[in-house]
Amino acid sequence: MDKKEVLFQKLSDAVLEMETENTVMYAEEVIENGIDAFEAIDKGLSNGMNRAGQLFEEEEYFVPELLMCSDAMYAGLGILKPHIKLSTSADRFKVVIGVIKGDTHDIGKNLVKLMLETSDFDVIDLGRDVPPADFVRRAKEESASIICISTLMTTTMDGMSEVIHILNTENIRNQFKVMVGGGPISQNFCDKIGADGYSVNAADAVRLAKKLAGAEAALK
Amino acid sequence: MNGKEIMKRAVKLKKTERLPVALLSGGVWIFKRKNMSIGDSLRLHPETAAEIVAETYAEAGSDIIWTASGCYNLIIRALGGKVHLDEVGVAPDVAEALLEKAADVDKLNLDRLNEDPGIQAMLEMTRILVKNCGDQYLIANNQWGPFTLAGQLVGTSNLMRYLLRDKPAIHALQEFTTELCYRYLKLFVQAGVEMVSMSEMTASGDLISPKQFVEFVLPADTIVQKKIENEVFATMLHICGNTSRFIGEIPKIGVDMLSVDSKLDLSFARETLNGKMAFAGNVNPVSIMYEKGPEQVEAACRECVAQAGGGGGYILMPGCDLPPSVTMENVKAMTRTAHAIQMPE
Repeated sequence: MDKKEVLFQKLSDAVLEMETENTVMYAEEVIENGIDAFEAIDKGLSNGMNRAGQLFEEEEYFVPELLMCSDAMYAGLGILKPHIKLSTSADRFKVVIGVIKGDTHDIGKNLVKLMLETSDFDVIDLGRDVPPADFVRRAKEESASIICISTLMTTTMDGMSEVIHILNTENIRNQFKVMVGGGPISQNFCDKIGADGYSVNAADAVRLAKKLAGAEAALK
Repeated sequence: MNGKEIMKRAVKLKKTERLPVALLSGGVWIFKRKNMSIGDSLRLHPETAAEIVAETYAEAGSDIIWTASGCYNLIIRALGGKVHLDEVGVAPDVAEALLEKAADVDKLNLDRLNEDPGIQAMLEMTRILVKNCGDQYLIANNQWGPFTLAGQLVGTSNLMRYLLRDKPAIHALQEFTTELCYRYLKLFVQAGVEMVSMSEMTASGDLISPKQFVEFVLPADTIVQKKIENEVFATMLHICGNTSRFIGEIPKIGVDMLSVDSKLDLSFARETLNGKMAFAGNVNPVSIMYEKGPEQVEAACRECVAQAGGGGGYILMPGCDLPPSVTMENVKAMTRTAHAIQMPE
């Protein structure tokens, strides 16, 4: 294994082991050694996060562990991101993401945001407790392709259909793909409110976003 | 035997002549039907609010009337937090974490609980409900459990991080929130409720591990239970998500009844709890109560009953609070199904 691959492995392990300081240290080594930062994000940080996601699916890790892994990953991204040559914003699909009005649970939304960012989406984070009209307004302002809405609570999920309703009322529904997710959400709910897709977890959300973005690109 | 008598027997694992049935909370749903927010409900005369609540539960056919449901986060406002209350059909939420760090919990004053005008209005409404219909329904109150309250104070993400890197912070927070939860519930017990419930949405089996549940949630919930159990007829615990990995531990808390989420198999709940405590659930509030019609609701309820088995100690209930747009027709289909299920000795 050459030095580059060893460093990628160390980065991946540090994220998996929730070691923020080590992640930063290895990310700095990547830069010092002139190694490609994008490759380090992909094969190091993202790889570690994917392994963490795998442990989550296997019920070895739970949300606290995933959060600590994502803290480590963000710390590494802070070092590596300024050194990568991103594709121009015209090439990157924009996603507007947020937690619907009435709900302040943003762990899932943050994980989806993180995974989308590392998959080369341009993510505009509206935060939590976001009124339905704000999703639409920001999506228009940013010329986003995808609106991504999350909620954990059964008592707030109606706001998701309100977003679709506003898009329909303004006659701009076909300009945006709408993705929904969160604890109480299901494919049935997604179909019922007329959203374009539902994903069960953050990894699935990336697959869905890519699929929807592909469909969007085909239209344009 | 009226709804109250049926419910009181069921909670204590005794057989009942028909299947007991109740909503879980429902405050946001009730007032949305009147095009009102929870904030609006607090500004009503308590007599009027009590009338709306009593009428809606009566029409719904629930054996439990929950008082001040949907108002959990008033407890955070009472301590100085900012809470959004004024969106119709939206559960009140905490605008931002009241505490920047767990150590700041020392600065909070528990005595402020009694000063919140919203809590006072709900207590007055409770006294009216107890007087007007406490002989027909089991009047109950619910509040977040101590673990969830800790998350409401510092932010759920921070609470999750403390689980792994700062256990003393969790202990400090929960030392406060156990007392906070107890004092809030006690106010409602003094107002006449006969059952109190802790809702632990943040202890969801989809969020934390069984080990974390046993280490942090179980001891804190047990403290509240031990303090309140001799002051009230019955206690309940609701935990969101898939609790199958730690449901076997829950009887140790000492609560009379567990309300389980739709992610749990009721036959597994029956097998695991095995006469140690009553359990309630778990009609899916979204894929059934919200998305389907009365016929499918009835079929889903019958499926729940079949899974839960006979033998008493089971209450038909949605698996979580109702989405605010669920139709009354669907709620009535649930309760009608239960009312039709006779349970001969």
